[in-house]
Amino acid sequence: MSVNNANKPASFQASKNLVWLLFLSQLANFSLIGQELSLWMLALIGLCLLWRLVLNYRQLQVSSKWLLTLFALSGCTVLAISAQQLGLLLTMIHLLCFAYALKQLELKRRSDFYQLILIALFVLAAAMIFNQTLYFSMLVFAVLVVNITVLIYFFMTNTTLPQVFKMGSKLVLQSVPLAVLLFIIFPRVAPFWQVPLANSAKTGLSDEVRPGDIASLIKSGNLAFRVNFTDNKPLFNQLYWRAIVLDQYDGNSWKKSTASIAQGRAIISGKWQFSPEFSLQDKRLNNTLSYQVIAQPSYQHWLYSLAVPELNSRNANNADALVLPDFTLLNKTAITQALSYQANSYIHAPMNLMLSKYNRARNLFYPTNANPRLVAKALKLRQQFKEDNQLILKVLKDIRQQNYHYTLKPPPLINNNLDQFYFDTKSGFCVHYASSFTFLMRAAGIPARVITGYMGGEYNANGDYYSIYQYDAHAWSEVWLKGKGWIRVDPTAAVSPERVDKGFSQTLFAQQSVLDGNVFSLQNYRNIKWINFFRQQIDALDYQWTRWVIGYTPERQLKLLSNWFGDYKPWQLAILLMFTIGVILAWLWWNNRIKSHKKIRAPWLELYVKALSLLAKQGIVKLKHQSANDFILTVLTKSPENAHFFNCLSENFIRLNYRMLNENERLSTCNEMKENYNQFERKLRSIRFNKKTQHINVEKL
Amino acid sequence: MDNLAKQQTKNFFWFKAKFTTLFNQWLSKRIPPSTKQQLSNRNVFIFPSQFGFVYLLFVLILFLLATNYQNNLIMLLSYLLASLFISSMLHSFFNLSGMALETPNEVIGFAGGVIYLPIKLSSNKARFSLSFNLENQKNTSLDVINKNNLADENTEVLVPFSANKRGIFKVKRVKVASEFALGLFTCWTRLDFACQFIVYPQPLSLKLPINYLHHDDNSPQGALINNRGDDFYQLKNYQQGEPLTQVAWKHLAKGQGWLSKSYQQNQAKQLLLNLADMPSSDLEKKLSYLCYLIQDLHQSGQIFSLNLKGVNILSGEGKLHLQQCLLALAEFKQSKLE
Repeated sequence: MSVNNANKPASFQASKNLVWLLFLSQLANFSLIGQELSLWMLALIGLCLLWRLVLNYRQLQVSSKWLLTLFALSGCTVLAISAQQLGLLLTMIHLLCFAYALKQLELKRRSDFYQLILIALFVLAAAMIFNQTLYFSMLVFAVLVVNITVLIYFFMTNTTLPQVFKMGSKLVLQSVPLAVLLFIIFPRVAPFWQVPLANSAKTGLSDEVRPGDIASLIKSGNLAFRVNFTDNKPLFNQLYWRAIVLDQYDGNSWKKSTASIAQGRAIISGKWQFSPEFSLQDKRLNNTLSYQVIAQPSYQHWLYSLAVPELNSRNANNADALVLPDFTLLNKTAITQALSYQANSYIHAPMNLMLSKYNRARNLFYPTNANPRLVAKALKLRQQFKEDNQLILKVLKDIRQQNYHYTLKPPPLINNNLDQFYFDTKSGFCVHYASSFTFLMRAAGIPARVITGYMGGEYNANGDYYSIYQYDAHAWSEVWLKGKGWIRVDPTAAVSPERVDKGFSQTLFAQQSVLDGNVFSLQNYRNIKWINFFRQQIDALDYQWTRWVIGYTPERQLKLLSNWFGDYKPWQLAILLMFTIGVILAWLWWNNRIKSHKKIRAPWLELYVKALSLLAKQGIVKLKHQSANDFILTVLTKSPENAHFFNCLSENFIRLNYRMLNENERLSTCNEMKENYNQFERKLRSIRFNKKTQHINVEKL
Repeated sequence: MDNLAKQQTKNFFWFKAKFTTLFNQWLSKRIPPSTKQQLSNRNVFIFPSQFGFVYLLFVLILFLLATNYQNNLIMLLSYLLASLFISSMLHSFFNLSGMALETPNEVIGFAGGVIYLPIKLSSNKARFSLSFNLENQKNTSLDVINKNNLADENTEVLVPFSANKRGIFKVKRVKVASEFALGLFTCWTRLDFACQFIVYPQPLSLKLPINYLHHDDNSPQGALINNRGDDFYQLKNYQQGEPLTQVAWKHLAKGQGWLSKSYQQNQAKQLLLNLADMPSSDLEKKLSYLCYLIQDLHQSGQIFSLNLKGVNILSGEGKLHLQQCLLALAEFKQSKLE
């Protein structure tokens, strides 16, 4: 108990434990957002925490003011300098984290402490801008509990840490049901204003590919997207996820041509609309694949689709997605968080049956001095085969029969020379084959282009969906044939049919995991059955999380609510709501009434009343006017066999209830009385039992 | 203009006073005075604290952030924090509700010191971070009360009251407050314990007390131990300041140390403490002297009577007599003097 002056402003006096718990919570908060911070900021934060550590050891609350100012100023200067490079959002987040690190150094008043907690919660929220997987969310939840515990601890001084943790978790867990309810039914609003988006490094495919480029993607075991097919599931070797069409070759790399970029821009801005029409034949059910894709954040615009896609126009989620003239999908904004869209693909629908002169020229172009040996080979082939079809088959046959290798670790090429690959090294992976093949086709006068995207996917039976990882990144070719349009040709299939039939083989995975270098990735242990099973289970959970929680859009909310309440009229809903609230309030009131009528009884009185009720069952009832002493006599006459224990019990009760006892006496007497009660109860039971057995015996006789 | 302004301030104060009285009337109906108080939804108030409002604003900002980023997780976090607000409200309320408080009928003390109002708390569960205070007084805070089911095994809080004046005061409402759970809510109650502070005058010591003692003609027979009398009564250790005539020289000469002789006087006349005899013109000072003398005489076990103008207490001794006399001093009013 302490006496304070009531008029003093609420000063902050943290107990030693609280200070340490606060420190711990800060470490946890920073560890969640640390990934997004630049190194120098991490160093500054580290210094601040170290400083706090020193203060903690010295048991101080506040650090010296001028040093703090110096620190703050230097931090802000560096931040201002690097703001350009970081982008608005990250600058703000750096500022937030810096404030969080500095604030803890001056905890003078209660309000400082409160501010610190609020900043901490903001840091947690900011961390979720960048990562929304299930596991990260669970981590955030755990850290939230820690933060709330810190706040509670301030009001629960002189209690043990586990007690406070219990209280904190209780409070948060009790809040969960309402939060979930709010999440489901609380009306969503459209964004009020444009917000700065994360300027994070782009991941996944890029719009410029050199032979050897995709290798860096293949190193990564990160998820690219997940797909759930509604009706038909395609065969594995049909899973060519088109993302980017590269139709310009400059002798070194494949790029999107400026013309197609301009077309994309025109479509995004709405100046031009591209809406292909499909025949009924194309739309027949067994030729149609209907699927939902949940793309992971890539900070790019590309979306993924099979064959000839059409966006499902009824699905409002697709609002930002577009189909480009090259039949790839594009999102208007960069994908900064999991994005879901619904598409139909018509597998046998032709792509561009007509090719404009300009387009034809673009898809035949190659720099004159590039890869002379390949050009020579192409011309030779052209002479040999008049039919495009046969020429293509011949090239594929060559690749299949000659000594080509599919490997993730190809020997390096000088200046991305395709000649060198095709005629000398003869080993490489998809990009090498796709580039060379496309080049050969162009040289032979067949319009051709390189497509990058993903090939295959891992089927997860738990959630009935495919996961496509970054290492599934792939490149292949498309050639334009008269009367058929663009046709997919995958030269990789010729060299490594296994790759396109089943995905990565054991040896490829072994190569991949060596490249990946992440020992902790469960992907590396996919050949161990139970680990793989475990990994897939976790992945299925994360899929559902992404689908239902992260993908819970206003449209979905509307649909859900109209499913639940759609049949009711507004006034009916209002009555229902009022009735529910009324019932809850009545229940609360009733509960409170009962509770307030219940009196707190002393334990001895409780025991005595219990004993009385036991006796009452035997037919011995204590009358209201009888004193405890009188009643002992009654028991003695009516049921002498029980009298001894009841006597002891009563005497102890009288002592406890009517005499002034000190603490120890009271405790010992109380225990004695409990013992008496137990003996009394046992005695009663044994008597009852004896009587019963006697009855039985009598009946037997 | 000036008059108008004056009128306005006057009106304002009138309204304020009116409002306060109305509020107090309502309060005394709502929480009637009793030495035993059980906290329930009848007498517990709850309102968001300043931090609570800031927190709500923060949650709103978070919600806007989530909406603008179309980020469901941040939205979920903001909903979770909002419902945390609600659940902390319930925890805050139940932290006070259900607790029983009890005080004695009266608490005794001396002016010029701090009197502590003892409040017994009984609770069926643990309660945290309570503060107790009387209006305009320092507060007492209690970090934690553990569950106590035994009727006697109560936690006791001492709420300080700095007594400036003597008199009998009704104990004002005690404010019991807590910000437990997250500091988002202040939960409080203002209890009228139907209890009195009996504040005796601050004792002021008076040297040579005997000068202000008169013999009471009305009192019944009794013995008075004195250092001036007829019959020898006892020897006691000599204390500095006692007249040298009292020293038992014979014993001193024998080397038995300094002893002084007491005599017993069988008298019809008893000691009388008279307000008018006190050596001061200030009434409060006089009462303070009397307070000292009464305690002094009580300690030395003497019989005395008290005469305050208009209030007479017949001679007696013992604790009850002492309390009676001191109570008379506390209650004494100037008007009776005139």
